[in-house]
Amino acid sequence: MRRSVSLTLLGITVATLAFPNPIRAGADDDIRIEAVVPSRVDSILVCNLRTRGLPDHPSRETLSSGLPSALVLAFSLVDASGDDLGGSLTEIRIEPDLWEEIMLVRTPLVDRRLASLDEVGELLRHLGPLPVLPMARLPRGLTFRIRVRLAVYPIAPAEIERVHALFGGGPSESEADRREVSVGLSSLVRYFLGDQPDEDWVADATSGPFTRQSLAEAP
Amino acid sequence: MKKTRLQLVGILILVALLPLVPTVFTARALFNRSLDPLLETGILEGARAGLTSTRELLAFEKSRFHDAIASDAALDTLTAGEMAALDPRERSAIDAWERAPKSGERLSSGRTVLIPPERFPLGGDELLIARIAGDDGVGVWVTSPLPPELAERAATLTESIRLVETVRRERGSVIRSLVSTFLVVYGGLLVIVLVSGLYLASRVTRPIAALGRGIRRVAAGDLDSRVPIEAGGELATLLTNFNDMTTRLRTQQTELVRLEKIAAWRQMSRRLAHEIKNPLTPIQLAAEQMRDTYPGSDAEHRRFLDEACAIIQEEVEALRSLVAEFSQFARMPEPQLDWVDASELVGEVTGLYGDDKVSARVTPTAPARIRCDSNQIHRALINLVSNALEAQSEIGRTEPVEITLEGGRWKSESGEARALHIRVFDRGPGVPEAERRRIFEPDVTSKSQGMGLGLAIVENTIERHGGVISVDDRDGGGAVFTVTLPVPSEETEGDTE
Repeated sequence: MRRSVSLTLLGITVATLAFPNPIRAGADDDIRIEAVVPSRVDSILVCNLRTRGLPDHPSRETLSSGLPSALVLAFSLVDASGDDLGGSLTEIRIEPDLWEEIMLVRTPLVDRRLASLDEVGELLRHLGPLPVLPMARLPRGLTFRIRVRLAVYPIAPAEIERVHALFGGGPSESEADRREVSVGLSSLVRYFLGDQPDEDWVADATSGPFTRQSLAEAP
Repeated sequence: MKKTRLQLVGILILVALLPLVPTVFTARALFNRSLDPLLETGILEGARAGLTSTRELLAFEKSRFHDAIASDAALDTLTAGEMAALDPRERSAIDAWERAPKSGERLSSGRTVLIPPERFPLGGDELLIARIAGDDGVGVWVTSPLPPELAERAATLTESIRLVETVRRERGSVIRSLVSTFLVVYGGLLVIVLVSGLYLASRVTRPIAALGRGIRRVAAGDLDSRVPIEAGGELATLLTNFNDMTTRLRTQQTELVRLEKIAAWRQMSRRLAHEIKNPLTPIQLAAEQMRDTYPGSDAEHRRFLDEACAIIQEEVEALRSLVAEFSQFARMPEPQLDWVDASELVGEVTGLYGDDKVSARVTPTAPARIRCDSNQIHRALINLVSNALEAQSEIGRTEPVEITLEGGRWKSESGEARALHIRVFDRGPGVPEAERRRIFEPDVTSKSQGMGLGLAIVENTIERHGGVISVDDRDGGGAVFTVTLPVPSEETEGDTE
């Protein structure tokens, strides 16, 4: 009995050694949000960012290989006492156009066609305007700040999801008539492939105080 | 037995786990190998080469569009209405374009190319779009559709390259997830093996444990020990054999006790017969002499002597009868076998009593002749008939005792043979079931006279002939004694007549 337990432990050890933990892309210490400047576009509270260190090295590597990267920005409107009044989540997708060998930067409001990664870097240094909240959500007479958090995905989540769907199958309707065992195995594979990781925030910053009235129209 | 069960389960788990490590490595290698064709460098290079071709075709389309502009051909223009209907994202892209520095290429046709032809997805179509100005200097957007298959081909190749690149980068997590899935399925099977093993081990060890307990009880002298048959196959056979064995041991022990009792009785009968028989004649002679030599004339005294002598003679005769019974039980000579007519043998018995006391019936299946010691079987039958008549008289029944002769089969360890069943029916009180085995033992009798040796002698006689005797209830009341005698084949035995 003791021997069988030892063999079990040996098996687990071997399996662990055979499949070491994946190397996760760590946070790049050089990524910074240097300035958060709120403004307004029509009836929307927007914000412009000045950043440093984007795209980071892992993202440059994947972009060079033709894969899209993504930045996720979480905006939170906080009042003077620090209470969260709401916010939004924005994805900026950086996508090499392999046909024309240019770079596309897709933001919520505008797409940009850029000739090189350097131009992408230049664009990401001055990001915006990015939507935060409808102006109607801002009570008059109060002072606010915008808190911004930034997560970097060297490979855009949508691309990883495609691979997961390829190997793990998906609950799409076209697959509904598959045999149960296949669905069961697919579910298992998808379970181990994992969901998209939670945002790993690598930088954050907070704007200076502002009021509804003090907001200028964005350029 | 718990230890054995644990050992069995341990062995099952060990057997299930042994293939784990090689299987995991093999699975991992297979998964890796299955991904290799997808990640084949040639495929990626081929896709990139295809994309290069589409890029060259795109350049050709742009050149053709430029030539059309230069040749002053009629071109599609983007009207103000169409501009207003554009998606904000598309509109913002055009606006950004418009703000970009202009090339200002002056063509011989008089047109100026402000923005050279570029690919632009518009409303789901892939277009070439350029900004030109005429002689009047007014800028206008002109468009030319790209062949749809070209854009589709480029999109497909782009998707393929991205997929391969993503798989290459995510290969580790894909393999890990596939192997983890495999391990979970394997673990599930292991749990099933464990549960099944526990169940099977329990099924195997429980009957063995019961057998062990049974053996310990038998060793302690409990021959009535039985084990429940809660198994199948060889185990069930083993348990059944154990139960059969204890049954045989119990039967043999009972038989042994009976034989020991008979032997003891026979020894005692021999001594009693010897000790009682010798003084009987002197007692009888002394009594007769005392009566015959009385010289007096006292009639009263003579009458007393006559009565006393008669009593002594009567009791001496009773003692002689008892001694004869003891002697017969003690001697039990070996039967002198001979071929005897069965009907004749029974007829002699019925003839002794008369038709009003005994009736006999011979069925057609009864063998005509049996091989026996006619004197011993004759005495045995008389004993049975006498017992039957006495049993009937105890309850006032007077109908004749019935004797039947019937043929049958005789099963013994040496095989099967013909047999003769002699049945003696009475309408007496019957024999209680609890007494049916003991009734053939010495000293067991329901009668007021005798030593209860009659049926013991009968059984002994029948057994010496290789037969058996039994007693059962008779339908309608009474008892039936069945004597079964084997009838050997006359050809194999030979006729000694």
